[in-house]
Amino acid sequence: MAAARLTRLVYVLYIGTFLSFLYVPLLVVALLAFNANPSPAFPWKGFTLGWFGEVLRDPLMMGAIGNSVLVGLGVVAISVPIGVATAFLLVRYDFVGKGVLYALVMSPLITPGVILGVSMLIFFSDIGLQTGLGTAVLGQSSFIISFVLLIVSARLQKFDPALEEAAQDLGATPLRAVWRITLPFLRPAIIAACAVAFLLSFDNFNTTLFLIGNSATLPIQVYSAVRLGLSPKINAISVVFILVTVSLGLLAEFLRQEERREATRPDEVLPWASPAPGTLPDPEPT
Amino acid sequence: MIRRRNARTVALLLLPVLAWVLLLLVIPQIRMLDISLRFKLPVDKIGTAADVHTLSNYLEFVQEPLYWKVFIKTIYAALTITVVSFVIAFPIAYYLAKVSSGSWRRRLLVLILIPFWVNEIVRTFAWLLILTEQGVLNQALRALGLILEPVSYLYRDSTVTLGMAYAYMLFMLFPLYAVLDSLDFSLVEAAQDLGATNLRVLRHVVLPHALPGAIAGGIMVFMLSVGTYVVPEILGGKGAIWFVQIIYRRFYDALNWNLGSAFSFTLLVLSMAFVGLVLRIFGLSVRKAIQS
Repeated sequence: MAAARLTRLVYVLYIGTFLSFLYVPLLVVALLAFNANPSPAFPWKGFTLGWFGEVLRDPLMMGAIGNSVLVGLGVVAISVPIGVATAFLLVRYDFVGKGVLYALVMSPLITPGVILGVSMLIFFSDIGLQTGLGTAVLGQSSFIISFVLLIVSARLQKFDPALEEAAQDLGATPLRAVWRITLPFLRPAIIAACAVAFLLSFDNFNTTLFLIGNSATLPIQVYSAVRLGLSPKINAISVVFILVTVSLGLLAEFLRQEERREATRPDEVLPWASPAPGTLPDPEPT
Repeated sequence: MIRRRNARTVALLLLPVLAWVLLLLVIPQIRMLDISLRFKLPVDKIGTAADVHTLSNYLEFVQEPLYWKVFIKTIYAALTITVVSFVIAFPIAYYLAKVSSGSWRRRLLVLILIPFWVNEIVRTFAWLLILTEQGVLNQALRALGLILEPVSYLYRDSTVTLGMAYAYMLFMLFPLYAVLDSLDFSLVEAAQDLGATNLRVLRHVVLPHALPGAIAGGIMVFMLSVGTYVVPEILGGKGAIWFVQIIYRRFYDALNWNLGSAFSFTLLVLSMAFVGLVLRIFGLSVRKAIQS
């Protein structure tokens, strides 16, 4: 009994230390964003929201937030359709070179982001593409598609193709069967993939650094500001940054859990897959 | 008939997939390899007879001690961070998966997930605020009377290593948690009933089961650590140069894309080789663990 209590105490102490290690630095950042002291340090000189006001009046920082949103939307628009197409291709079809293609589509997950950025910088300059928001969208998509693929293909593998065949037997064209049966089944995974893709884009630094040109996304702007010198204004923009990414992260996690829960009950997604008796007219005898 | 329709569908789906793989991954990396094997030439000489293939950029990497010393330091630090992350994260993952339960486990998971989503730059900036000469740590130590003069903690390799461990540790924790969550606790009890000590249970039951998670987490932590630019640039400055900074400077300060590409390609090959090696070594021992 005493031993069990001791084990518990050791665990509590260890986890407490670990959580402090995680949180104390972030609390320091947050606390000093509200301190009236012009340098981001103690002593405490009173509560102020002034540093947030300075962020609002800084066209570079506000522009960077706008750019991050634009780039994130661009990445979602490119990576989600391509990720879904790749999932269909790899889950459903066999073809020559599938193994090689599989290795290639997974490779961005273990390639350092800097190398993705450098290689695309070289190629884009070959073909005369100016670096900027557009090239940043392409660069980030190069690895974010792989994440979309992982999320969507996991759900597609759970799909029962008999449902699609049944729709075709009832006269639907293959495309219509996919549109009306398979895509609704995939919808939770696609929504989760959109959130994950936006979050990964909003967070990305290494690949973006080489492809953003003279523009800046939020992480790039925060980095430039830190290099110029410390100011509580950076604390303020960091607090905004933390709030945005943590809410996006919680949203993405919630969507993925919803998706996993629903995947076990296809009737929730496809209400007509298991109709209550008498709600549908009897099919014509064939 | 069905076969032909399949072929058309495959072709239609292949179109966007190949556009992605070829235009964003394969061709850029082939081009990177290509220019890493060429001399740096003035623009008007590129494509002329003088633009031949050469190994000179790779030779420069081998001959200049600064480059390969920094390279080895980067790899060594990344390995250290990976091992330290495992040692620190394992008890937390075990506690989350096998000791805690119910709403307390869910709350603890969320508490650990929240810092996971905080951007690397913000986390590094946090350590800068703490460790800089006029920063929070020096203020606290002086207030406590432990030091008289501020100490400079920045621009050291050890500080950069700490910053990276802080930034990437959670990438080890979550894969470990996932595998430990699937460990059947009756196996542990069975081993204990048969007289195994806790240490033997850990070694022969828990750790073999956790291995795939440790490998997945280890690959993530290692890759992030060798590939980071922000952490050494902010915490290390000029005092502690890391390999990715050398790459960045070839591209932007020295404007020598050829040499920068050779460095990038070296880093790419090495990290891929590392992943392959780890999978191979542990792939064998995983099989052995299943057999025994």
